[in-house]
Amino acid sequence: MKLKKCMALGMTVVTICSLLAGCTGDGETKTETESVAASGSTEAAGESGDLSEYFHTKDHYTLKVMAMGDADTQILEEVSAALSEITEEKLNCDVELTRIGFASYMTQLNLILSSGDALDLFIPMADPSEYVQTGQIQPITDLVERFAPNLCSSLEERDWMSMIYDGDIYGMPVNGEKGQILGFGMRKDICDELGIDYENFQSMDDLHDALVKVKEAHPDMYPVVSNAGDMFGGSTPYIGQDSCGDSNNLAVLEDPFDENGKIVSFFETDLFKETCERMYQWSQEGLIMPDASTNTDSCNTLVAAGKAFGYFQHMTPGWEIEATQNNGGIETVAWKYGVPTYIGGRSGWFVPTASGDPERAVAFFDLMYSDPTVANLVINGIEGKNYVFVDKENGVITFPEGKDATTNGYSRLEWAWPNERLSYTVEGLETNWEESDQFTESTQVPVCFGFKFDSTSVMNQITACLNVYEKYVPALLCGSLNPDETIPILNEEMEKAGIQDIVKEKQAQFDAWKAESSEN
Amino acid sequence: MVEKSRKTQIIFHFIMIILCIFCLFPFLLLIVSSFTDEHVLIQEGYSIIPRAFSVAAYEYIFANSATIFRAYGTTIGVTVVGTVLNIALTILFAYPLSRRDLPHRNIWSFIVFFTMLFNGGLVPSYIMWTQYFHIRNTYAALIVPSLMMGAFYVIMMRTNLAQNIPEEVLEAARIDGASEWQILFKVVMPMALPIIATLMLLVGMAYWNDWMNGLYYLTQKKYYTIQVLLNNMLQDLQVLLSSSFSANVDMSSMPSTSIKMAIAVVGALPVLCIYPFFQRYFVKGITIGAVKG
Amino acid sequence: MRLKKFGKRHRRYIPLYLMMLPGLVYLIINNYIPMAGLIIAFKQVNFRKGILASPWAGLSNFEYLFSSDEAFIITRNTILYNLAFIVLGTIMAVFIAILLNEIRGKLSKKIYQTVILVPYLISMVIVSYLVNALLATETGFVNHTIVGALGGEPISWYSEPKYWPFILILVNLWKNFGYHSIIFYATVVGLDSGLYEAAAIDGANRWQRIYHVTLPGLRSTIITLSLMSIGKIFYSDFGLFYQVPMNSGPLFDVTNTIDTYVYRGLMQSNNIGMSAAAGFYQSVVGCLVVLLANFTVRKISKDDALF
Repeated sequence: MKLKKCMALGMTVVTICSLLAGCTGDGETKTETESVAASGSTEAAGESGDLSEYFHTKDHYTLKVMAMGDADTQILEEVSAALSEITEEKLNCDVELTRIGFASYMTQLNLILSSGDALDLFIPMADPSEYVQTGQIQPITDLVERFAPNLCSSLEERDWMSMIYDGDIYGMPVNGEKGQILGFGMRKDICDELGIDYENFQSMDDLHDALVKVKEAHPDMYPVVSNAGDMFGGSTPYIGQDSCGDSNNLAVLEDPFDENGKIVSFFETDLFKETCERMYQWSQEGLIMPDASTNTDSCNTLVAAGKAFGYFQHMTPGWEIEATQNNGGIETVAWKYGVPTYIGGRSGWFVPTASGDPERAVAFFDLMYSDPTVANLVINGIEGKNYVFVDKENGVITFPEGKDATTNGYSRLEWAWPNERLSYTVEGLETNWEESDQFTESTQVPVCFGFKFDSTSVMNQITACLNVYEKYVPALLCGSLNPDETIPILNEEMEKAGIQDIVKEKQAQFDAWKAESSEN
Repeated sequence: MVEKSRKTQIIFHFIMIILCIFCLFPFLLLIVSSFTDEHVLIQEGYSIIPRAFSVAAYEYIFANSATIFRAYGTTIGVTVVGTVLNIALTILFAYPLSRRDLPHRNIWSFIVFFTMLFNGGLVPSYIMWTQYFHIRNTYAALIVPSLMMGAFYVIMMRTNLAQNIPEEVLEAARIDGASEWQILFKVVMPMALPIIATLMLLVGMAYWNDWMNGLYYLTQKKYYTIQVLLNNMLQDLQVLLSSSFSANVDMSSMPSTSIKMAIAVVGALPVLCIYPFFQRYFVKGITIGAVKG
Repeated sequence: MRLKKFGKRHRRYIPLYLMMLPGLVYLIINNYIPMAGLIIAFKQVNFRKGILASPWAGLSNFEYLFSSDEAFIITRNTILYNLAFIVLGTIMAVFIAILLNEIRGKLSKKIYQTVILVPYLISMVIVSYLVNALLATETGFVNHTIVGALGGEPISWYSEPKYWPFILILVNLWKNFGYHSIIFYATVVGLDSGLYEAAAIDGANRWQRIYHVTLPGLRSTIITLSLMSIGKIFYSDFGLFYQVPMNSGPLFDVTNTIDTYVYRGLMQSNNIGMSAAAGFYQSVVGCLVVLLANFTVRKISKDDALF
């Protein structure tokens, strides 16, 4: 028995070591040698060297790519096979595409990245800063120029800024909508009925008057609803502030476009106070649904059920068309307020540290970015199975007979792929890219655009502050708490939780970043 | 005496019926809501009396009926195989622990119990199972990790065996010349049928309800069990809302309230249908036979 | 000589050791080797270097659990709720198990057994919707039907902390009593019928039989189950404390537990070291408490101790 115990113990120790050192260590050695090889061979192959030729001198490889969205296993295999046919010739590799639905995407991705599993290219669902800080993704500064020429030639300088951490490029931005604006969406039929001139609202007061009219005319309809508990949408900028380098809205810039803006606690700003007061007043007048902060239905479901008039949301060009579809066909219009804000390159694709071939990963991204056949394969799936043409010349498609967006076997999330502009458009939902470009032209770039906040030194304060945040802020923004009483308590608890440490640290990093970028 | 006994029986039944109503009422609410038109549900709230009957929620779930039935099949297979393996491992481990004469019995028990207190977290387990046993995207992924034997079941079985199997019975068998294996199969197991049946039920439910293993170890939809499938439908909206993409996605394609309720019904109903078949093992009498025989 | 004696003593038990072998191997693979991951709690993890080579973080990953004012509230909530669940849950489950055992009528017995398991089969997310169906301010069943009938003002349940300790305990009892009742019932059924017969011959009535035979027969199961729950006293059912109150801020004083605190704090950063630290802290405390409890049990009745 003793012997058995010793053996068990020995085995344990050996396995632990290989478990913890082996798996992740591998990735490192590989990438180091790869990057050495890359920098060495860049000169050898020459600047304009034929990539295909270069890859054919290397071993054959199977590229593992992961993206969001549901897809049937069989369809994925077909798409992967079709992709491989193309990449075989161009990159001398096969592609194995995995798609996972939203519910498990983040968990699966984090597990794969933390365990050092084989993965070469992916799009994250959350802020990638954490991946950079923990070394789960690798810098590709040396690779993009050579292996992603099409991407590089079509991007502006500022598009890269979101992808740079500590001076290194980590990601490749997707090409989609590049601007957004705050707005309030509402039912057109009711606006017409009550003569609401939504296009000419000047201020929140005009909106308020309209909501009062709605309340009077339709007492069993909520004038304003939350989106499953969220009044203004969770991501930045959500009532006009900028979370500045992270996404938790604790230490913010009150005016994102003020060159001399200081970082402040969000909860001490006038913007926050005014918004809470307005929402509280509206709530007291019965303009906001009761239990807005614990509501579990999406705003679209509520509008479609005839229970809601409108809701706040961030909007991009063409929002009305999409919203109308999302609201079960009820025509939806919007009043847009606030400053059109530039958000280009907000999401991108990344190469994990454990990737066995970052060069091909970058090259494959470039292929998805520039080759219409590849782009349409990954975005729309297989013709005849997942979509059919309505108008082949103009690239307009629809779902096959008897199928819809949820049952066609390959969910269409065009914005999650490198270049949605190459994709066919779905009948009735055509995107007008010219309009989109014009809108992008009109946007302003926040002064902290491209700044990344390294939160390592204030993690304790952030966890404490986030708990205080959850305790008061969602309810305040839904108007269910009286701001005159609650905001002082909120600020007191935030102080105790250490929000000033976060503000100070962020200000220091922000100043350093500004100084650095003005030098360049 | 008989009169009195009858009165107490009536009181007992009364208490149980009240409790059962408490258990069933929410479930009824669930079933009724799942058959109610979504718009009516949102406008008028929940009700125990069906208004605006609609099977739209079930149509949504069964839109890919092939996928759903395949998932049901997987669930049944996984539950049966997993439960048998789990119970086998559990009995084999628990019986020696239940023996008062086992050397270092307390140390062994502690080794088992310790796994309930500490765990190394998900990432090391994931590395273990995927990189050394390569279970990702196999049916084993649904059976093996975490569920194949649990300290809870081992300790329950140990306690039960230690209490309900008298030493004299084992001693008698030993004198008859039975080996330890024979004692286990011929004497202990027949006597332990009630606890075995109970644990089979509990383990079976654990396998049936499990979606975590699917969440961690499966990326291919064809291996999904019914709970993985249903849970994905259920969680999509919540996960999306907490991400920065919430504005991009067509929320109306996400499950609404009545669909969520239908999901719960589809997930739970089969177990309720199977359960009565287990109950025949909960009968008295088996023990007496074994002791006397 | 001693070795021989040792061998002789153990030879008898070789078959027993063989029986334990598969389970032991499983525990080593599934539980013990991955426990190496506990060191993550003390590391500033950098995956590029590998977990082992990552720099040590000392106890800094643990700081956030104790540094804020909330530390006291979340610890208090976690412990008090767990104690309530253990005590009330056990009493109720034992009561039901005995009731089931005393009831005559095979069919009704079967129906009761099935029905009380229904709540256990419904996931917490769905339970949270059901609770919402009952408690929603405007459309909820309670405000709509009960409070309305009594002529009271509708209550805004999700912003009134004072009701929630009862609601949470009720929901927990409702969901789990069936499961535990079945375990106790299996023990009661397995009790030696000879004892009942002997009691009957001695002229014991129903209550005396329950008091002198059934309850003592359940003792070791009750102790075992309670000790196992005590080991988890620093953990909480995330679904119950996060989803059922709908993450409603005004309720935090009575619904925030260690698990929900950690979740809310780390939701966005996904910091693996800090979440490992929370788990480690919960385990260590649970381990100490259970060792103490087990020691006490041993003093009183050696056979009922867990180890």
